[in-house]
Amino acid sequence: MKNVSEVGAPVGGKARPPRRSPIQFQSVVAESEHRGGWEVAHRLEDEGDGPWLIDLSHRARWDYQDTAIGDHRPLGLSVPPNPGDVVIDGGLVISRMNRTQVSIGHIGAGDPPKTPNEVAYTDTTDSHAWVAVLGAPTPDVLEAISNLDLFAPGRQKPHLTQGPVLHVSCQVITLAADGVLMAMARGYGQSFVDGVLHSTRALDVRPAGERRFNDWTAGTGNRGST
Amino acid sequence: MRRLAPSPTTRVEVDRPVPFRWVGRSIEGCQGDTVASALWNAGVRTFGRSFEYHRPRGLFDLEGEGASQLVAIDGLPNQSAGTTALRAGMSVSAQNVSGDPRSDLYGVLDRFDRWMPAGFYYRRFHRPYRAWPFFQNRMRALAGLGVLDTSSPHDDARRSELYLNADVAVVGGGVSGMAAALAAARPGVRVCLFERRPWLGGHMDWRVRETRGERLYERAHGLAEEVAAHPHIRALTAAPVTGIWGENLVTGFQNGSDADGFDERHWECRARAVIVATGTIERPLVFNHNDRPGVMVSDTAWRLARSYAVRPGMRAVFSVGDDLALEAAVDLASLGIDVAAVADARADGADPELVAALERAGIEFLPGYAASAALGKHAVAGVTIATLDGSDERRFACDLLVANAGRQPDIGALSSAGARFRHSPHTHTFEIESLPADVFAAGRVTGLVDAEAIETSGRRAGLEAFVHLAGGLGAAFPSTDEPSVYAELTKIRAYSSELPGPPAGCGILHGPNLGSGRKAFLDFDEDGTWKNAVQCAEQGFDVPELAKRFGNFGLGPGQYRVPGQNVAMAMAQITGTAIEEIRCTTVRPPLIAPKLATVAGPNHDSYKRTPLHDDQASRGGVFRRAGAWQRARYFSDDHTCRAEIRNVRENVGLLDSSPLGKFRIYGPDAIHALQRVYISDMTKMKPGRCKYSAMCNDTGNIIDDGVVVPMGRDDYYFTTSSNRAASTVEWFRYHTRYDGWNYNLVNLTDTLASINLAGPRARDVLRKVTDADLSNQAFPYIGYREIAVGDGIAARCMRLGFVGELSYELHVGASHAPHVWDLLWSAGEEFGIQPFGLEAQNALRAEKGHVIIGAESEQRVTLLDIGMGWLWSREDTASKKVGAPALRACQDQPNRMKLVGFRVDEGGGSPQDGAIVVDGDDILGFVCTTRYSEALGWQFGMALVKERAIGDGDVAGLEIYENLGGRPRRTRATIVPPHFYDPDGTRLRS
Repeated sequence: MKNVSEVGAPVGGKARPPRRSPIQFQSVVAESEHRGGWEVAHRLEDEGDGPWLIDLSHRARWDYQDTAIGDHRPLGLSVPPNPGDVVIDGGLVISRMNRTQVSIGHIGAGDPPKTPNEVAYTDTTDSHAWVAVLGAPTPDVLEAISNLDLFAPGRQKPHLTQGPVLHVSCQVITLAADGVLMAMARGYGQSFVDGVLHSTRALDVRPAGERRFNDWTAGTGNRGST
Repeated sequence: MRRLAPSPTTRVEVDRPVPFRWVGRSIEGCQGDTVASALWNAGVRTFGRSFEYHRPRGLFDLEGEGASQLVAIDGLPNQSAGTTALRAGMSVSAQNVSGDPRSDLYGVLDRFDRWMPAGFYYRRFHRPYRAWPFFQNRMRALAGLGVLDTSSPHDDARRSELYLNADVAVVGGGVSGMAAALAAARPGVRVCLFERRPWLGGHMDWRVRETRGERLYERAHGLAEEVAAHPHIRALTAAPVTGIWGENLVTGFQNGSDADGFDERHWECRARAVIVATGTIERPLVFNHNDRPGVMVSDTAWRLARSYAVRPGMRAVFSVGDDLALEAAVDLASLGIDVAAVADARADGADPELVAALERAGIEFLPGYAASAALGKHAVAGVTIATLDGSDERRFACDLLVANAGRQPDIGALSSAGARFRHSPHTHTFEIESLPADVFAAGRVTGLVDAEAIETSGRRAGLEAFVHLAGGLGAAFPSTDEPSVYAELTKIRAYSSELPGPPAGCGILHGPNLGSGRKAFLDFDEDGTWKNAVQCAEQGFDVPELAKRFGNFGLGPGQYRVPGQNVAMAMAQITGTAIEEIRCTTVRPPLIAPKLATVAGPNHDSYKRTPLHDDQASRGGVFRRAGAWQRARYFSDDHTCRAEIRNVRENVGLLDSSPLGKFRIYGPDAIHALQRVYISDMTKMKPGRCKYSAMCNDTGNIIDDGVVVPMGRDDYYFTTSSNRAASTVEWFRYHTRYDGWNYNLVNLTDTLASINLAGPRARDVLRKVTDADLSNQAFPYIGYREIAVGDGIAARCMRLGFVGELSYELHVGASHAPHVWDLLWSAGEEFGIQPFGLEAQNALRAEKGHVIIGAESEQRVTLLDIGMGWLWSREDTASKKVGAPALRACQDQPNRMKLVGFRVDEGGGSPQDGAIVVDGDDILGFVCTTRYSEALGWQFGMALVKERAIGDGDVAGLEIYENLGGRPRRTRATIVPPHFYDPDGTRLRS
């Protein structure tokens, strides 16, 4: 029997069949590539100077559960000790969800690791819509759409907050004062980003391609105007 | 009118004109004006007409505290002229007016007040009762405020929301509020400050009086600069607070400009502590015609002159009861306004320094006098002033009458936060009696008047809040400056006790020679007069809580903040009760009303779309909301979906069933959890087969059904109904919470799309996209297989038959679903494949007699009642199955509701879902689902009815009753087994 991680994946070594993100921005794609069946937009036209909203739904994600989760090293990562803790290591971000569960996402460059053949893993790439908000006014953007306290000064970043954004349950990872990741049930993806763009028009949030995110994580990119 | 010369307190730019229109004529204000200041400067005195009597009303306050200054702006009614910033091109009009506001046609109503006593609305025109709607409609047409112009443009995009988190929220941006914010804001402490005016400073913003070598406005401006520059303080101006709620949720709205990108935005701030520094409001003096345009409180006249460089009047008379008003008189005189006289209701106690200043300015000072009547028909033309006993009366000509009865703390925010108040015979106000532990008060709201005491109280409140956050003095502080905070707080507490406390207040309620008080208003919003208060008391509504409701005092836009204390004082005086025995009634949010659209927020909807949303839309899908999802309900304009149904019965159809709940459960105790929540014996599952079962709640009601498939050792995959998907994980956890079982659940509802391929040609279609053996022997009904589709996409495939035909349910990764849909579509074209939606599915499954939880079940019926008792593993008591005890208890109960099938008798028509089943006047149940079946050739349905309706086995009939727009319709039907189509299941097993 197959683990769910194999469902939807191509079998028999054939060419990757096309995959579709739950999020379609209105912006025109200026540069893109086909990667693992996805059409990944590197750059969109008219991205502006930030803040940016970036679709990362094509990035691999996993759920890992075990009652003794602290004794494990999923994908070679240390499990953060407390719910809400987040560790970034080797291009992966691992978030402690609760006593028995972590969520792992691929945010680095290059290919994601393959799903280990262990029962505790579930490939949840298709479970979520995953977006990043980047740029100096990121706190302003989040304040317009959620009452979660995502930037409490006493809380060490990165950290995970689980709660509603635009009335949708989200996993929000505050990476820095100018960057957050938000994952929500895949079905909400399109109405969620539509809602973000609508609610933050005054802040001029614009969709952007993955390159903004890669530059940001590499620490070399323009982090947006202040 | 020519503006006053700008001064350091002026907030307008007189050389930047702003054109706008007032009731059709062009007027010019200037940059920084409010609508009210611009109108007043242009000579407009009547802003609108009152709620009930259509009396002319003008500018009374600039704080948006009442209905008198509400106007319609660009078609949007009930806008506060006093607080709305003037914008070029605005079209402003008066409200509740027929014709010109100065000569309103319905102004004649003012003469008929005798026929409109307190509570007349509840007592007159009700006999005969049939007549009441007639009078009600006419009264409503005459009364009220603005009328919404639905044709005016309305921009959804200019609504906005702001959610803040703070350690300390400060309500009020005056000197005490700013001092509190600065004292509390330390490293690690976030402070949010909310000020309703467009700038910080409070009442010191416009005061030029010098105290301790510094003018008050200079001190206020200095603090405002400190606040603006402070890294830990976030100050929102033009942001009135609407209320303070549980857990210190402070809410309000903010007025925006074109540059802000919003007109008005809702904000809310969750804080750990709240400091309220809302200052005072002037208590209106009750005297005859105290609502005439030209009568205003002193802050209004003062701010017009000092903040807006507008001359409030040419000749003014004051009838007031506090020192600030005396200061205003002196200051207005210094600006060139002729102040003819100042009557002070206090016989003594006025600040001698101010009295001397009045004398130096040549202003006649009349202690122990108060206004008894304003003169003038449409606007103030004079005033009668008299001693409080009425013995000495004097008249003055004037066009401005500044009047108050002293000041009262602005307790609205504190009241909504849960503070309690008591009347003080010293200040003659309702003072704070107690505060919640994490709410603090500062400044004039505590009764202080001295400028140094006000600022010090703010600093103290800020430090107290900081210490409260830290858990009290001596506890660990969040910052490193504990010793300095401790020392500072100790010092400031000692210093506070040396400063002047609240001075004696003014106890006057109404002016002398009031008469019946039929034109002396306690409540301007709803025309509540002194005479009405007397009438309330005479009819037994003799306490403020009752008079408030019967006489409509404080029920208007200003709520109870402005008239509240006066009503309490009035009832005490009228009934001869000591004011100390009377409680101030609750002030309820919104303290200042935002637009409903602002509260509603941006008009966007959060809903779920399936991975196949666009693909269905491109094929004509008509979407409807189904729980969290938008789902394709129809694929044509024919909402009976005959073609969709026929195609499934005859060819093959595609249904997007992705919202179906899908879960993985694994771990050594997963089987125990399944045994607990499912009503069947789940240990009997077999590899490669689906196990159909149901979940019940504790009362035996069926709440969910679906299939479970073993996937590997201690690893299972199961489906739930769409509506239960969101609560399934919690359901498992809740019902196994004491067992300590080791199992894990993963919600795969969104991860996997579900495509239902159904119809006699379904196998033919699927064969074209997979190499898997789909023969009936290799893949029988209720079978489960993992197959590769198309280019090798792995799919979980279940052979089920919900719609009563050969069917395959393919579960594929959501991102691959559109591709798989396309593959099936291409493969099925030669077999006549068409999509079908939820309505067709509903009709198809009903023909087959398959139930939908919630459609053919409800709270009163159990698993047994709907004929699904065969699922229950009665022998298994060890698993403690949820709902089993209840099923056991009720399995032999007589006359329960049962699910039956019925066939509408020939010529009986088409009843609707939900129609009731009756026996004479007795209701026996209701129709769950009924449709006309093309395949059967008759109208069929399922109904839940009391058992006695079914009879003893003979052919029984049902009578279905409907009320169709007032026309009763009775339909006869015959009870039949609820398996209408293919009762042997031949087709789905083929």
